[in-house]
Amino acid sequence: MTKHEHIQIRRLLAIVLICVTIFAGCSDNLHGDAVEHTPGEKIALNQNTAPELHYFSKTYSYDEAELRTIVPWEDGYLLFSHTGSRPLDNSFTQEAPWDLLSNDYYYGAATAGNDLYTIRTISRGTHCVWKNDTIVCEIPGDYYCDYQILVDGDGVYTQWLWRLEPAHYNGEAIGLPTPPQEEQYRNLGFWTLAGQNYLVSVREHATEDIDRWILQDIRLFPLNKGELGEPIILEGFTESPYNLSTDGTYGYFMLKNELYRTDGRNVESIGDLNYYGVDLSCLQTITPLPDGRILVVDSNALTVLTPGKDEATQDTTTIRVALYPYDLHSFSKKAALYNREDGEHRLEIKVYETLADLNLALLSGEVDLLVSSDPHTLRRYAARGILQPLDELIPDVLRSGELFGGVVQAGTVEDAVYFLPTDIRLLAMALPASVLERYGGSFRDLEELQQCLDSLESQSFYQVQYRDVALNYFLWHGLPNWVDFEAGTCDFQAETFLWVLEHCNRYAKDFQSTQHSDDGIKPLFSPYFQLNDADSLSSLDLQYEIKGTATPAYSESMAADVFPFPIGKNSSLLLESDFVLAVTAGSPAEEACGDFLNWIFAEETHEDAMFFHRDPIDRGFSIYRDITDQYLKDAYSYLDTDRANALREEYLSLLENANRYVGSGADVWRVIKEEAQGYFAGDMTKEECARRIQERVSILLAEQG
Amino acid sequence: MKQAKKPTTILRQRRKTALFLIPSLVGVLVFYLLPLLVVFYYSLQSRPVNGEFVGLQNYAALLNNYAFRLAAKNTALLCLITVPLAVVLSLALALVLERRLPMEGFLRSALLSPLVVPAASVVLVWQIIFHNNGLINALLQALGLNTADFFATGWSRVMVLILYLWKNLGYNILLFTSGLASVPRELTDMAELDGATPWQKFCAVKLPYLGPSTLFVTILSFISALKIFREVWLLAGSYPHSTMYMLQHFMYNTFQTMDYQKLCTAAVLLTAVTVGIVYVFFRWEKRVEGQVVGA
Repeated sequence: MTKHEHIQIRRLLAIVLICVTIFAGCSDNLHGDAVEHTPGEKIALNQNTAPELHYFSKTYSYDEAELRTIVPWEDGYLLFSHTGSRPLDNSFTQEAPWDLLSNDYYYGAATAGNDLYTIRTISRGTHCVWKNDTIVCEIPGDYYCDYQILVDGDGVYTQWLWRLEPAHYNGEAIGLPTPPQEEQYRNLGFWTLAGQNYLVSVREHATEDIDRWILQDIRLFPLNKGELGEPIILEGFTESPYNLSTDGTYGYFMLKNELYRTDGRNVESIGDLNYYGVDLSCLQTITPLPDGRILVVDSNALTVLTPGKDEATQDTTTIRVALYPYDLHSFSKKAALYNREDGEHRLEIKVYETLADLNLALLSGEVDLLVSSDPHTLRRYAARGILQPLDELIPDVLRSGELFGGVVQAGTVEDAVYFLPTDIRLLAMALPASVLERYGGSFRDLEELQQCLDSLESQSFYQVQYRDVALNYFLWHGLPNWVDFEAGTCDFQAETFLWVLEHCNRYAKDFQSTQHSDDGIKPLFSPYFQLNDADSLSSLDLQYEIKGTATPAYSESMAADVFPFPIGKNSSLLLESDFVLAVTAGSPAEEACGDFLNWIFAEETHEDAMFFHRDPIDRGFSIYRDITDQYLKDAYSYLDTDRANALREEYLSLLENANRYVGSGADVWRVIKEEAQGYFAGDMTKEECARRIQERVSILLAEQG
Repeated sequence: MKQAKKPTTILRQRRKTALFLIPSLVGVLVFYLLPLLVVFYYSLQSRPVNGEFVGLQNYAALLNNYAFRLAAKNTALLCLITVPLAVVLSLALALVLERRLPMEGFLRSALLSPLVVPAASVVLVWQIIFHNNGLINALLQALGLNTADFFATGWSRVMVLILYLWKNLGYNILLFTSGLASVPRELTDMAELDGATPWQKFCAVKLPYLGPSTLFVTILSFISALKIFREVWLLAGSYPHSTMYMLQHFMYNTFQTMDYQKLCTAAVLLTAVTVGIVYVFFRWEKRVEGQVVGA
C-alpha cells in the first residue's frame, strides 16, 4: 500500500467517524429508554428537536359543581370538586351523585394502588393528608390553597403550590439548601422521571426592585424518603413553568397557554390547551395517565386529551386568532368555551406583542380573526382595507337594532362596521352629586370646572395621583378635541390643552410623592371613574370624604355623580372594552369566523355571560340594550321603584350615547408625554411644550394622512 | 490552426464566466430586482390586500404629503451639506495621515471605531453630550454663552451633521488613504525635484489619481446621508423635531403603521433619485477621467 493510499484511507475513516458522530448527535431519546440523570448534572433543555405530538380532545361537563381534580380509581375515575367527590366510569360518565363532605374542603388527591390519598381540612381548619379514611399527617395550609401529592411507597410528599412553602414528607418539612444571598428557591411540585422522584424547584434572583424575581434555572432535587440529593440543573427555561404533574416517565408542565412534557433532557409540546377547550383562567389540575391520555380539569369541565388523530376532528377548521398587544384572559375564556362547544371550528390563539409583528402576520395571511384592546389600530386597518366589514358576516346582529347605537358607531369606518366589542364599560369624571347639582349636572367649560375644583372643601385629589397618570386620564378624555385623526389636523396650542398641562402639573410629581389614605376614602374629584356594573353608580354614595372627618358619609347629600370632560365635542362618556373583534379581509376561514362571531354575538351567549357566568373581575355591560336593561332591573330590584328606574334610565342613556373609545393614537400619546415631561420638570413653559407637541404631532398626522 | 481555435476558446471561456456569474445574478435577481419590482407594483396599487390599480395616484398623493416633503427637504439639505463636507474633511485627514505621525496606528483605529461600535451603545454618550443639561450646554454656560436646544430647534441639524461625520469619516479616510497610496511615487518625487509646492503637488499630481476614490467616497457619502436614521432615531424617536425628520423616518414609520402604499411609493422615488444622482456622478467622473487622460 502506497503512502498516498494510506492517507486516503485515513481521510475516509475520518469522514466516516465524523458522519457517525453527527448522526449519533441527531438521534433523539424522546421515545427511547428511560433517560439516566447524574446528580449535579447541568442539562440544557432542548425545546426544538422534539417532534410535534398529536392529540385530540373531548370535553365533559358535570352539573354545576366547581371541579377540582380527577384521579384514576378502581376501574374508572374519581372526580373531585372542592366539596365532594363522585365516581366516573371508564367513559367518564357519572356513576353516582356527588358524595359531599359535611364541613370540609378537598385541596388535592392522588391514588397509589388501591389507596386513595387526599388533602382535606378538618372542619375547615387544619389541613391533613388522608389515606383512604385515615389521617396520615397534618400539613400547613390556608383557606385558598392547592397541593400536589406524590405517593412514594408508604411515604407521602406534599407541596403547597403557588406559595413560597417547603415541600413536606409525611408532614415533615423538607429543607432545601440555603440559597446564596438575594436568591431563593421556589418549589413548583414533583416529577417522577425514569422511576426517580424529584422535587422541582426554581432558583430565582432578586432584582433591584425586590418585588421582582428573575428565573435563573430549574433544579430537580432527587427525593429519597424525605431526603434531598444533589440537584440536576435544567437550563433553558425563560419563565417559570406551572401546574406540574407526572406519569412516572415524563414530567408535565404548563408554560403560558401550552402544555409540555419532558424526560429531563428533551421537551415536547403537547399543545395549546385553549385550543382543546380548556379554560385556562380556572385551570385546576393535569393528570397524565400511563396509557398516554391526559386528563385536564378546569373549574367547569374535564377535558380528555388522547394521543393520535381523531377522524371526527379531521375536518375541523382552524381560525387563527391574533391577540394584540397582549394576552387577553377575557377573550381566551370565551375562546375556550367556543372550542369546547363547537366541533366544526376551533380558535388557535397567538399573541403579537408588537405592531410590526402583527403587520407582518396580517400581510402574510396568517391571521383570520383579530382581537385587540386597541380599537384605534383596528380603525387604521379598516381604512387600509385589511379588515372585512362585519355587516357581511353578522348582518342579523347588526340589523337587529338591539345593540347600543354608540358602540356600533364607534366601530364604523366609512359607513361599514368593522369591529365590535362583546362587553363595554364607561369612563367618566366624578364629583359629589351635591356639588355637581350646583352646576346643573355638568360644566360649560374648563374654567367652570376649575372654579368648582378650587371651591371644593378638600383638594386631596392632587395628592393621590401623580402628573404622568393624571395626564393619561385627561388625554383619554380630551384627545379628540385636539387631534382630528380623520382630517389629519391638530391644535395643541388651544387654551383647553394648556389648561390640561397646567392642571396636571398640580398633581404629585411622582409615585413616591403621592399620598393615599388607608381607610379607602376617595378624594372629592376623580378624573378617571369607571362604570363597569350596576353598583358603580349606586355605590358612589360611599366613596367620598367629608371635610374634617375620617369616616365616609352615607347620605344622599354626599352621593357622587359622573360627568363628561367639559370641552368641545365631548358630550358623552367614553367607551372602554377589554377587546374588540375584527375579521381580516380575504381570510380563508371567513365562513368559520362568521360562525364564531354569530356565536359570540348571539343574544343567548350574552345572556349567559350576563346572568349565569358573570365575570366577577372583568365586569361590564352587554352591548345588547335589552340584556343590559334586564341586568340593571335585576340589580336594582332591592331599591324603590323610582330610584331604580332613575338609575336604570341614567345608565341606559349614558351607554346609548357613548360612541368613542378610550385612548387613541399611541404615537401621538408618546409624543405628548415625552414633551410634557419637559414642562413638568420645569425645562420649558407650557406654551413652548404645546408648540413642540403641535410641531411633532403635525408631522405624525401628515405622515398617516 | 491556432487562429481557428480562438473563437471556440473565447466562447467556452464566456460560457464558463456566465456559469460562475449565475449564482450572483440569481442573488441580485431574487434579493434586489424582484423586491424592487414588487415594491413598484405595490406603489401602483390602492392597498396591500385586495388592491386595485390606481396608476400614479400614490405618487401624486405622496408628493402632496407634508411629512414626505418635509423629510425629503431635510434629507436633501443634509446631503447638500454633509456630502461635500465629508469628502473634503476625509480627504484632508487622509492627507494628514499620509505623513508619518506619532501614534498613527492609534489615530487610524480611532477614526474607524465608529464603524464597529454598536450605535445603541454610544447613543447614551451622545445624549449626555447634546442634552439640554448636557456637556455642550454646560460648556456654553461656563463660557457665558446662550445654551442650545439640540433636540427641538434648528440646532438639531448641527447635531445630525456631527453624528453623520462621526459615523462616516473613518471609512472615507480609509478609501482616500488607499487612493493616495496608488499615486506613483516617481511622479511626486519628480514634482518635488521640479520645485513644486505641496499644494501644486496635490493639485497637479495627486488629485487626478484620486478621481475614482473621490467618486466612490462621494457616492458612499451620498448614500449614507440618504440612509441616516439609526442614531437619530435612537436619540429622538420616531417623530423628532421637524429639522431632524428624515426620509428614513418617514419610511420606517409608514412601515410600522402598515401604510405600504406610501412606503413603496417613497421607496421607488428614492431609488429613482439615487440611481439618477449616481448616474450623474459616474458621467462626471468619466468626463474628468477623460480630461486627465487627454491632458
